[in-house]
Amino acid sequence: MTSYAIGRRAVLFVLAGGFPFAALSGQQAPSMAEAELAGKLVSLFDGNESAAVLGHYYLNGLEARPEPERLVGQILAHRGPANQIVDLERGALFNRLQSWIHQDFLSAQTVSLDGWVLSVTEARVFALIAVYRDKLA
Amino acid sequence: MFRDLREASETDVYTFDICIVGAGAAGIALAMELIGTPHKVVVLEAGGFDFDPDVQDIYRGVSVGLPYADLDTSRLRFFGGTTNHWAGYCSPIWAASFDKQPWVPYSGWPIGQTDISPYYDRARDLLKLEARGWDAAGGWDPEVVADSFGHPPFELDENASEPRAYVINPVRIAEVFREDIAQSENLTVFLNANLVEILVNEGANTVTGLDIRTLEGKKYVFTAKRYVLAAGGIENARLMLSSDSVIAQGVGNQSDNVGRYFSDHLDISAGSIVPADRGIDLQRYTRLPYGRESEAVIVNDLTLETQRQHELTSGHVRLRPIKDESTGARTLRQARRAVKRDGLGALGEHVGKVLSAAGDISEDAAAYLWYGQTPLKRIDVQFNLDAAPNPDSRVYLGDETDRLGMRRVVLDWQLSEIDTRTITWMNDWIASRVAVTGLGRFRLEVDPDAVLESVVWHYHNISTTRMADDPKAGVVDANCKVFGLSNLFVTGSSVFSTCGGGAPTFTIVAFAIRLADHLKKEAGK
Repeated sequence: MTSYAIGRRAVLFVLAGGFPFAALSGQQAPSMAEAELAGKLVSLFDGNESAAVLGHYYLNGLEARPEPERLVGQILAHRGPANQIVDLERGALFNRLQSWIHQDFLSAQTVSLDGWVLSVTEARVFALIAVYRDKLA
Repeated sequence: MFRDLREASETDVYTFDICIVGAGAAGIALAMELIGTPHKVVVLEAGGFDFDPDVQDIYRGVSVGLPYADLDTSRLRFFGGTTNHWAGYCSPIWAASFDKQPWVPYSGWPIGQTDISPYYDRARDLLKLEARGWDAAGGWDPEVVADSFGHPPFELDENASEPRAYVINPVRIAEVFREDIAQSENLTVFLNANLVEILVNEGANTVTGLDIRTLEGKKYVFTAKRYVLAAGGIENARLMLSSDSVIAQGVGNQSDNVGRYFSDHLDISAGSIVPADRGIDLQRYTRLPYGRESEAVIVNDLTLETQRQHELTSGHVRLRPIKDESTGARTLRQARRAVKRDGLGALGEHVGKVLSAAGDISEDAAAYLWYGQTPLKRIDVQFNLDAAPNPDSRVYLGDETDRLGMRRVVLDWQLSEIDTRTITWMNDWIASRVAVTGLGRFRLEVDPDAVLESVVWHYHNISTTRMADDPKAGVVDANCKVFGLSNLFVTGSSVFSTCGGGAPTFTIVAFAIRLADHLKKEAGK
């Protein structure tokens, strides 16, 4: 499996109705919009093994591994419903994510990974990527 | 002229108009200002022309507070003093640093910047510092300095910080002025002359002479109309505390302030930045040539409003771009630190790759395209803070004695809650600004639960005989005269009321020149 395939396969997996969150958690599945958005966020980092490494590091630092849908919910908190965001083109979605990250740093919403100060949103996106990798590996 | 006290007669009379103890930055600057005047001047230097371990051993002491440099390595006991190994960084103390800042305990000086700025002009000449961009009221204009570098600006935070320029020229003043001193007719420098006690009258309000010894045990008494201690930030206090024959607590120590408020600038290696764009040009913030003899560097000072708003002490952040190449000529300390922390840590490579991918920047392409320069490996972040005045931070005399029979010094270096708060605030601030400006991501090296463990000193010994407008608050008055003594003065960084911004030597020289003018004026009455 090439690293390029991870994000793309994740999206395809989601669109095919195999959204892995529910499978992983056994809990109520999120909306299709949230699932699709999750896949698109993951695809922004196509081929980036490092994002998964950081995501695993973030997940390992938590007392309990969060449910994937909780990660999505946290990323979207106060940022509008997924269905208003999911249709954004890749570039626009990337810019939106950058804006969220920017706001995180302005409002001290950060996490520390081995001393690296990251936006909590970017850390959660990386965590999503780690979850996908684990599921698709 | 120069004389070796070891070859002088113990029975001779040594009487002068002005007697200066110490031939470092302060003593030599003061002496140079007095050459050619009608006054008969003597400088008593404890060492010779070169480093001698037996002489240097007098400086050995004990540190019982926060970790600090060995006291016999942070200063030098021979002609030229600590300027024999100083780094040469020069910048005046900002005007605001002289003012009382309500959120900083014990802050404020009894003088303002306008009282010292004319002497910065003359100090700049003496230290042979570049004139371009210089203004006595504001130091070197950072825009003029930066423009001369020819690299684009990077705005870290124009609201919270402002650029400051340091001009650097580690001139060895002992070498530069040795011949002038040798040829002078009214100035004598005695080498190997150790002051062991300041002699005072029964009322302890006038110095009557100085008890001077050689390490070989020869004894002398030097007398003068006026005496100036210029022996360094620790030794000035030690000499006053050691002079206890008439007053048990030492001369000038009626309010128990001698030795207190010991301070230094705080050096914190805060962490490193992995740049989003490895080709970014941050050369403006590196040390670059400035003028014929000087170099310069630009740092970012916290604005006064930022300090006020968050109740911080003053300080600056310095960005140190590290190129992706061998360690080169980095200092031993930096190299040791780099080895210790293994550069950017295990996650550094991954953070960098995430940023590159997120920014759609191919690995090194942008770096090499940008002026064709070597890409950055990382950007180290260094904080330099002015520690807040703290009376519990002090030097005092221990029980162990040296070869002269004098009690060795004990240093109890302490910091304050505001220092810790400032470091913590700056950590959060820099992490945010690095990301918000798109520079990259910041890795914090400071343990948030043990901030003081990250603090390193600058070898600046400050405030142990601090200037004040009230004898209860300090040791010397605005003219550097010791409270309660008619003819004893102190000069050097020990008289600084606070750390002040900027490295101290430039201000030490300015104060010495100011004192020279005062002595000439007073002696002329």
